[in-house]
Amino acid sequence: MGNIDLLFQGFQNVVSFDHLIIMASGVMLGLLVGVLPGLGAANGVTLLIPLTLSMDPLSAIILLTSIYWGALFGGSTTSILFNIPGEPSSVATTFDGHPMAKAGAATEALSFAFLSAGLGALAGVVLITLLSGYVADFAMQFSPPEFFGVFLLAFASFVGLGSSSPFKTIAMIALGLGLGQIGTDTVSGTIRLTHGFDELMRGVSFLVAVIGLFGIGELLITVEEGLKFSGISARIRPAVVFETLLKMPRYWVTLVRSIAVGCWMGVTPGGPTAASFMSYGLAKRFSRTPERFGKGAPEGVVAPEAADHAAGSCAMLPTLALGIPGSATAAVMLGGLMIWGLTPGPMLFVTQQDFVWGLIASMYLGNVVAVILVLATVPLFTLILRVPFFIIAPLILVICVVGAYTVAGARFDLVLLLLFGVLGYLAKKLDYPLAPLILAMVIGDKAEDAFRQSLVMSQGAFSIFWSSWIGIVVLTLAALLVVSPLFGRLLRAGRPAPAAGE
Amino acid sequence: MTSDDRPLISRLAMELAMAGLLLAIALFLLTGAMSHGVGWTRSGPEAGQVPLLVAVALALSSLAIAAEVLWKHRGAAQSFLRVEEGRRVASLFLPLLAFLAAVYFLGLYVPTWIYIGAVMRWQGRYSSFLSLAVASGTIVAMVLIFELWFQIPLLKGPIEAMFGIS
Repeated sequence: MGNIDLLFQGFQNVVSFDHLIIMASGVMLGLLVGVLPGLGAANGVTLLIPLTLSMDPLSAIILLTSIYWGALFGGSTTSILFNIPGEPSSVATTFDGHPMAKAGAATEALSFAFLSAGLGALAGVVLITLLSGYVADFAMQFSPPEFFGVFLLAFASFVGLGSSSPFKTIAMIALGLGLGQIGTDTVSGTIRLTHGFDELMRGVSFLVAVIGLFGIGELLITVEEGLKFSGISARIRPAVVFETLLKMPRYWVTLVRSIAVGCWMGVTPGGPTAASFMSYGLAKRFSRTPERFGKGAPEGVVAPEAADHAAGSCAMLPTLALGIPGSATAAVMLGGLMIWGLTPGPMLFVTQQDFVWGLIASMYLGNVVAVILVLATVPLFTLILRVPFFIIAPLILVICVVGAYTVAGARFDLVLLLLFGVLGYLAKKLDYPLAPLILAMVIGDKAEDAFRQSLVMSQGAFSIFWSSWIGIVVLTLAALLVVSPLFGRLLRAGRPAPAAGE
Repeated sequence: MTSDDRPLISRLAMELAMAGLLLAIALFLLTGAMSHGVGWTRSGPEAGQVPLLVAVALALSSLAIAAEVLWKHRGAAQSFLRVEEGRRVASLFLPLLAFLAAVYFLGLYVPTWIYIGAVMRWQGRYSSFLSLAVASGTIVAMVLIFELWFQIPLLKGPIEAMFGIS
């Protein structure tokens, strides 16, 4: 289908001095937010969306995706050197990465992490290149009932694949949908659910929600745990990087399996965090020497990193082709697309070909740029964690407050920011998942439109949702996913409940 | 760091409070939805129908969560927050609360300057010079990045107005 030709065209659009500068600065900013506690990929992207309004969409998306790559790498760096995951998705990297670094193999651990991450991301982008055209073509056959089915499937996979209580996941999805409905009803144009508050007429912005939930909430968690940076200083020696590269083929089984897990979890909205944990678990289970895990096994670094980055890049496939984001950060980018006036979904591949293929081409380049930059700048960024907490924390909070204000220039958003901050703190502590909440806020409107249009088409008969084979398959999958955790519970019911809160 | 390990709030109490909060939000959404009509018209479902379904789902899941945590945490006295942890959270949260309230009424610049300076000087115990330098540097960066570079005006209040800046 000429995907390769389109890709080359994309490269031609992307390779320019300006774009490379944007890419490099995006990666550096991403590394910064990835390294800083409290700021993560979703937050970094959110804070910059108001600033991208004056850019053309291709430059803007290159900036945002580059921040994403940078943040993923930054998160792994702090996991390995400081035992502090800068990103939720790099928690699994701390298990073996930090012991490796403590044992004096910091450079190896970082090189393993960056190289497998780079390979994972690259595999993800290749998958996108090969599949996105077909997925978009296929999605062209969708009408509102099928789209609603796919939206439902996205929510169902959070319930089925998430690690928290399914009721908590459902509650977070419903909360996100409910918050998203406040304001103007996109179908009838009426203002709803405001209870007479004028400030709510604009609706509740998901950007403010992300900054509050992930920024302020995360920072409150960080202080509560009491910040103790026990960092291991690292200088990257090129020779060690090269030696590690030569050692990589030894772990090809782990690598391939992790990439497969990552791609699957990225395309279905399981997200990078779930992917890295699952991949780490599988690597340990299939290992001939599982007792080495947790004490500095290279596989324990390769597995979560490759899966994390494969999932991170694969999440862009459903985001672009279906308009359904595969991770919280992808959800924010999707929101960005809509703010720039682009409608995500299969039509994007027809009407905005240059944009889509430019973006895909930039993902190849961006990851290469990210690997090089991260190897070059690790010592610089580890210095940031040595800046004392009482300087970093107020600065991060000021960035969050300024960021929330610039979303719409509304003072009321500051109140929302505070509420979301508290909600984020409570949700984190009580194991409520935040990604489904963001996803629901971003795609809630579109899901509701699809639902209502379908019912208009069928004059109110719900049978329209399973009137086509696509609908039947999608709804069956969704139902299976929702039911699966309940079955797991029944199987475990005989055993005593595991210590909760872990 | 763990000088005061006494529990401040129990996990179960907090779980139930959160479920209660979700139920309250559900009722807020529910009453809103009911006021918009939840039935069927010739142009399709009314504006309140989907919100009604969502609110019901939220209400039901909050009840299920309450039942689940009562079952899971029965008898177990797990703590949600210890005294020492609570102190640390408050040390970040209370200044933030004051900062946000000040921003609401005075705009972004003056409160930011005071907030960063005060936190560094009294919580971080840095020298007055360094505190002033970082606080002033932040203000300058805000002006440069937002007002000049990206042309996004930041919130200003009565103090700026006194100097004729708006």
